Amino acid sequence: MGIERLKSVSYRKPAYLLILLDALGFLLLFMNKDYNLNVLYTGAAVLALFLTMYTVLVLGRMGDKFIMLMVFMLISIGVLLLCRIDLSYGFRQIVWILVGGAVFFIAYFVYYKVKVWNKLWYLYFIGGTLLFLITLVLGDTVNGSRNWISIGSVISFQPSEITKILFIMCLACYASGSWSKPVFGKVAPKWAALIITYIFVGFLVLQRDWGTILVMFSIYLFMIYVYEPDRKLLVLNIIALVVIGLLGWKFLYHIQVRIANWLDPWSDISNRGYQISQSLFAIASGGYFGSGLGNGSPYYIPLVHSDFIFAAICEEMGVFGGVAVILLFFLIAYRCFKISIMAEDPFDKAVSFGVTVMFALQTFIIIGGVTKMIPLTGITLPFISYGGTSIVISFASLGIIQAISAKTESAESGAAAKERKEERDER
Amino acid sequence: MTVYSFISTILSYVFTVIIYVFIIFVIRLIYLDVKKMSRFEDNSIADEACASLRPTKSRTEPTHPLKRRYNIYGEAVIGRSPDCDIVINEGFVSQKHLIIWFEQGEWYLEDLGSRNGTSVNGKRILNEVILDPEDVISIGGLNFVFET
Repeated sequence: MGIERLKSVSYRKPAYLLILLDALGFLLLFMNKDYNLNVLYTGAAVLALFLTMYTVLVLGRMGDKFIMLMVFMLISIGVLLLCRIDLSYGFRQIVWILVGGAVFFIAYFVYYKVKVWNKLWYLYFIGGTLLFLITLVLGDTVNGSRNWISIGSVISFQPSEITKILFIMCLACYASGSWSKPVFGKVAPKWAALIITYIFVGFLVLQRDWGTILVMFSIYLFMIYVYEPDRKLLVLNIIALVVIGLLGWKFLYHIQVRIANWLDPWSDISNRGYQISQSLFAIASGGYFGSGLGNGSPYYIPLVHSDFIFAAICEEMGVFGGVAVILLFFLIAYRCFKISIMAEDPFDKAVSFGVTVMFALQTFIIIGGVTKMIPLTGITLPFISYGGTSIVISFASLGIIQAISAKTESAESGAAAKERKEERDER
Repeated sequence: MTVYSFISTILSYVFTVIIYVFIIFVIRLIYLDVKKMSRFEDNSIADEACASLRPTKSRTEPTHPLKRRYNIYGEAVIGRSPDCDIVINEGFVSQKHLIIWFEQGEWYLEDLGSRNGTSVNGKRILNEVILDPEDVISIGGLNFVFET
């Protein structure tokens, strides 16, 4: 049946722009890297992945169509910058995105089909605890945090990223009210969730992974702010956070250094303040439109490929480029919140809310840290930074959000179609 | 290398423009999406989508007075027959002239084989069409504005 759209809204225009950006960017890098064909292969791989995933998403009616567009804009910018910094990073990032895409679809289908997620809070808790114990026993220490597990010499991953998702699911069980029975007959879910949060935070303190502590604890605060009518709990938790923060500042050297660097990176510029001051120099040297891809000197910033990639974006694509990245994250967060509001199942609502808060907080913490707005804690910028676990877990969370939006959409259109059919039958 | 840095500098402006146009497109799409969502929330009666037809300036004068607004709840058949949801008692309107219904977030219009036909925005329709707000539907000589 030929359905004619009289005034149609085109979903294609933004996709064409994305393809144009990729084509121009990778051609430019092709020149920059002495006509190394690998650059073109990487670009082609990004485009092929985008086209495949987006086509499957649209044709399969898999929920929201905008988030994937914006995510691939971020990924394109990220891969461009990574290829420019070091071609091997870009190459490995592509492999991770490929894995992430597969995980995205797996997470989508598993979350869509399995209906018992809201009853498994103890599994999430046990899983999270096991991951922490494994990390403590087998973990490697990288950059002061003991949060890496290596299997062989090829694969290494950060279990705390997986724990974040488990933690959100566990909190969502409590927030949606599907976990209402007291634990051991005594402890109400409200207090059990509190205890689980503090246990996880305790493990993270042992690992010295401050960034993840901040993300997890803030997710908990946001959750109880939205779901808990008892305001006292929120106030007490904030007080506890402040007290723990002050104690940490007083007694832990690690945190003292971070705060000192934040307040004044210039006094120790050659040593501890080096990273943050180089990042600020890079952002400042970019100007409004940036020095152009390949004209900057991002190599002065340590860890520029993972935590500090935002500084490199600001240097080579300008303040406008950086603002565009922040805007894209804003829009993604807005779309995810809309999905959360529209969702009908309370557990779905809570999970999508938690995941959105996770994305938003991670972006805020690392961009704030790189631009010296808040003390720096090393976490990855979702979808942009180089990092296998980060990319894969971000895609998995996105798959969950997409599944929730698809559930809502199919419930809506299903109800409408059913009503229409019934009315037709009556007539 | 000077040629390269020149091209790169030029392209840095191009990139900025592309990214911002992309963002503007996405914001526009989201705006349209939200507008569609909110108009069904506001007008719906018992979870059913609601739209309306407002008679507007027409070529022919109706012999019977028209109402100021015809509401459509989910689905409506328009025609001369008294069985229709919206009855327009004019000679050039067929017994069952056309049907408008709501499905999967869109309003559809189909002509039910009427003698004088139906046009949307001045175009005679043959198949189903998707209606947008402010489309003008002409039944014979009578014009209606479709509103949601």
